[in-house]
Amino acid sequence: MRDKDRGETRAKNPGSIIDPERLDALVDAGKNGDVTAFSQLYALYGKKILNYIFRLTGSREEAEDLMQDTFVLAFRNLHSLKENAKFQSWLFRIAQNNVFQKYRGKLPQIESIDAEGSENSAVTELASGSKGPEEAVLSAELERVVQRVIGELPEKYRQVFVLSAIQKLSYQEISEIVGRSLASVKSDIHRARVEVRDKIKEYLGDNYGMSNLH
Amino acid sequence: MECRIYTESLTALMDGELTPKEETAIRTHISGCPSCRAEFESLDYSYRLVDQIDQIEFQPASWPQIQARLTTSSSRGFFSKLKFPGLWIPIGAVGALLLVATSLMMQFPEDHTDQTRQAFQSYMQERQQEMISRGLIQPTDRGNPIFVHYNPFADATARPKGNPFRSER
Repeated sequence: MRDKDRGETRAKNPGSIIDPERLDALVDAGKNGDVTAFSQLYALYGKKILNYIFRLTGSREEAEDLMQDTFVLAFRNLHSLKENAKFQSWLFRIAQNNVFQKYRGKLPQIESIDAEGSENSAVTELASGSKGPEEAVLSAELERVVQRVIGELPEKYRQVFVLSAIQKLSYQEISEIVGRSLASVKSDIHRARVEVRDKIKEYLGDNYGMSNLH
Repeated sequence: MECRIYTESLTALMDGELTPKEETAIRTHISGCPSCRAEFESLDYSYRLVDQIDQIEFQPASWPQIQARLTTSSSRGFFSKLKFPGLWIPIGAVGALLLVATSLMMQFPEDHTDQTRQAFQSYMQERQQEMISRGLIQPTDRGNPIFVHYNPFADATARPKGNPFRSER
């Protein structure tokens, strides 16, 4: 079902998912070695980091390991963060570096996802959720198609696509995370979006444009 | 050409990254251009499909594992605050070894040399005194004693009694 306001601009994530003052206090406490305060940051940002790594690597196990590494590294290097307000983009940057370090500068090939017997059964779990049987099937199929499409994107497009389309970060933040100019990021996001659209269209064939939306 | 400029900004429009002026310009163009409108709707549809995918559930229960790693790293104390703390321990150990080895090398030869020299000098003095007492050498003013001419076989008839090296004059 399409919204009446077709093409309504989507709500972007705010720069921080918590109140800036609270973020500032938690980061300062973390800089002073307060593990309890840092655990709150973990609770707030853990899901974002986990999903970002998952979309880059296609593996839930890897994502969980690398997520833990990311937070450990973040705690140890928190003193190097100059602007507390940039904690989120700084954290994403660490996560990204961990992924590239793990895979030696190249994002892994994400295999196509089968419904059963696959390491990526996380995808099937995601899709089944609390949906009805028919919805779950459609959802699982869509999830597989999207994940496959993401996996087929070139590295630099995959990064910005995941950060923009799934993590809903602003272009400015994405620019800080990937270390490229705003103009370059804007251009790459457009190309990534077009490529994703073309590939989804290819996979769904005549079903593209039909009401798969719920 | 004009369409291309607008289509390249369609995603920025959908992502809310345009200024109000830019947004107005594009929407005005789309409303009057069928091909751009079709492109816009196609992209918009893919946006909605992607928006439907779920995210992995995050389990904060994994925090104790992370906490254990943080606690272990922070209990190192001083060294944990240094960069590359793991390097400091072997560097420190090597430095300590070098220091000990250097001091040993510097001390031991002198002691050894002194002791040896002293022992030798003491022995030579004893031998010298003994030879003087036996009359084999005579002390001089110059310090170095001279050997007395002595031929133990000169008097073949005089058999030395006891020590054959004792001179009999």
